[in-house]
Amino acid sequence: MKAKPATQVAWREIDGETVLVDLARNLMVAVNRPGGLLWRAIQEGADLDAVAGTLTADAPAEGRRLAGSFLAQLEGCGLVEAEGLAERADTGPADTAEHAPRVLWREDLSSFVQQAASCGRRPSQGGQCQIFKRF
Amino acid sequence: MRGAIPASFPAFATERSPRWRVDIGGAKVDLDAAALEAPVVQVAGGSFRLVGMGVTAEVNLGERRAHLAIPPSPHALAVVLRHLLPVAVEDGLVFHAALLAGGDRAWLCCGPSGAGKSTLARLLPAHARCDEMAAARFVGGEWHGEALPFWRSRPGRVPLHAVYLLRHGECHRRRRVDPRLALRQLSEHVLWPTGSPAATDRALGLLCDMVEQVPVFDLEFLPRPDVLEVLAGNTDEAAA
Repeated sequence: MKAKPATQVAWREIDGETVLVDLARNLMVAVNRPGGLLWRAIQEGADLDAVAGTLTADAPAEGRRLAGSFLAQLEGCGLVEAEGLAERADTGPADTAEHAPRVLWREDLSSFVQQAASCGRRPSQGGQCQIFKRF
Repeated sequence: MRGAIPASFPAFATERSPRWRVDIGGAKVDLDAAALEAPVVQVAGGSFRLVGMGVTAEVNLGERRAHLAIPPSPHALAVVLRHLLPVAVEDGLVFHAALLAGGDRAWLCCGPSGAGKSTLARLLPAHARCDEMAAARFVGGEWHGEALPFWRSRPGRVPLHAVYLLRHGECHRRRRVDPRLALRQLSEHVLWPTGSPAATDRALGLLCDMVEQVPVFDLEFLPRPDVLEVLAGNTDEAAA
């Protein structure tokens, strides 16, 4: 099981969560503590199978399964490129156990054209940015 | 090119020696077509380049020199600044927010269009510094709110006392938001720097620091001037 981060992903830890920002995709994602552990391992190029095996105390295979599911979530967000996820088939609802790595939330960060700051409307609210006409 | 200078800019004029040299030239564009172009920003090796919306900007961040080709519209400079400021301001963040202040305390009031930023500024004109975009800067070991010259604004930098996430309500009430939730909710009000991974990384770090160091509140409010009592922290709630 291998993964490498997409380029241009900034990240920080805050209060036990790890927050990732990818402006190429206008995306911010937060992962829980086990997810942050795996993210750091990805950043460091560590052995993901070994790290995954530590997620569950007595069931390393379960840890690897959970890690595979988590990496599939990250790959779905475009944050990593993963391979060797033999057990990735399940990309449905994440396991909610405390030791299970998972994405907690994601936010779409507005681009300039979409941002309300430019004209007071987002595309979903109707109307294009008429910035040059507002005078 | 007089038409290219927004009405709000002269209020920010200063007698201090300029720190930037900016050469401005005209550009003939179809404004209707230009309004639909998404600007493309490139940042590399200390230079910033923006093309789009009828504007071309070449900026040398290290030498603080810029050359702009812009149409005679007061919003053209705003297009440049909105993309340049998040990259060039290394000690802070730019927010879609109103900035209000009382004495030595500033309150950054964030929210999407319709949340009440301009309403607050109209209710409290003596306290309003700007109602569109403001900066939060970490200077001298503390956070400050700083007005930016967009739409209706007047200059000033004041210690930042609180950040508010605005929404309309049936009373005035503020509730403290924990840093993790504050980070999530504030992220959509930040003007994130584009074209520079280093600037993005810096911005994320600053936002994480800010939510841990400056209290963030959810604020629901009525369009009444006594909301000032809640903004100032004199009370957390006032009935309708």
